[in-house]
Amino acid sequence: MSLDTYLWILSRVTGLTAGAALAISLLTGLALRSAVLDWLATNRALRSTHEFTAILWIPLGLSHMLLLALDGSVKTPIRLLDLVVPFRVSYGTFAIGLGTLTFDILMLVAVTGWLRRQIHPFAWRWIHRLSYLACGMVFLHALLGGTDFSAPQVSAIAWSVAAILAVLTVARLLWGRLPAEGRELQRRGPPP
Amino acid sequence: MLKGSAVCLTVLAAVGSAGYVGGHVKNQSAPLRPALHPQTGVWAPADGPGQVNLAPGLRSTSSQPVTETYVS
Repeated sequence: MSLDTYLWILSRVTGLTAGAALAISLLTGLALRSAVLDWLATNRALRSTHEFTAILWIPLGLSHMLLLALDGSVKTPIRLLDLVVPFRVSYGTFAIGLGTLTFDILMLVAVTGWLRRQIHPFAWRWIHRLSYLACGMVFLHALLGGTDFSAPQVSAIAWSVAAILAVLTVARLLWGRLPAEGRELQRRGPPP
Repeated sequence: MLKGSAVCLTVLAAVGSAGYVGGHVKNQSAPLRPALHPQTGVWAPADGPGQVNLAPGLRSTSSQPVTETYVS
């Protein structure tokens, strides 16, 4: 196996895995604001896990991008600047640009998350809400540009996870956050 | 516990992806098909002398068949 083929395989694997890690991040984030995982863990544990997932998806996403940039088999390769500035690559401009833009937005969300105490809550909340948009964009990026997305084994899992996250997002938008009392009662179960 | 589950799920996704991608290195229905250097791929058209365009094909021959289907 040539080095380029090896890099090509690794970039696809890291891309798929970064998508899975992002889905976990979004799920735990949604669970913080709704009651969907209250049966599993406390809000404190969910918050801790949600913050922890950044150290899963950031290295995976970065690896995915860097490995694609290192691929020497392409005539017009992805340059380092293309990893930051979207819609500059000469092939698959929209599909690849969506991925770049998504990573930029998610990095902004992650960094402002770490600096939350220094940021006004209103600004932080609206920046953090961009992650919903970013997750929709990363799905579109995979759909339009993902080499493996046409395979039923991959697309069945991806569409299922996306559908679950979409339903939870809509539920969150429609019904908002359950009141703390209601969640406490739900955890304890019905009175004897 | 939850963090461990998140790591396990991510590792599971990585192993599953590696298994699938390793078994399907080339995907003919991939949406993106960038032009490749000729020595590494088959998608780039030959655009100059000294470049090779790899493409499937059969050529007929004028030589006589060397086997017979009967014995007498």
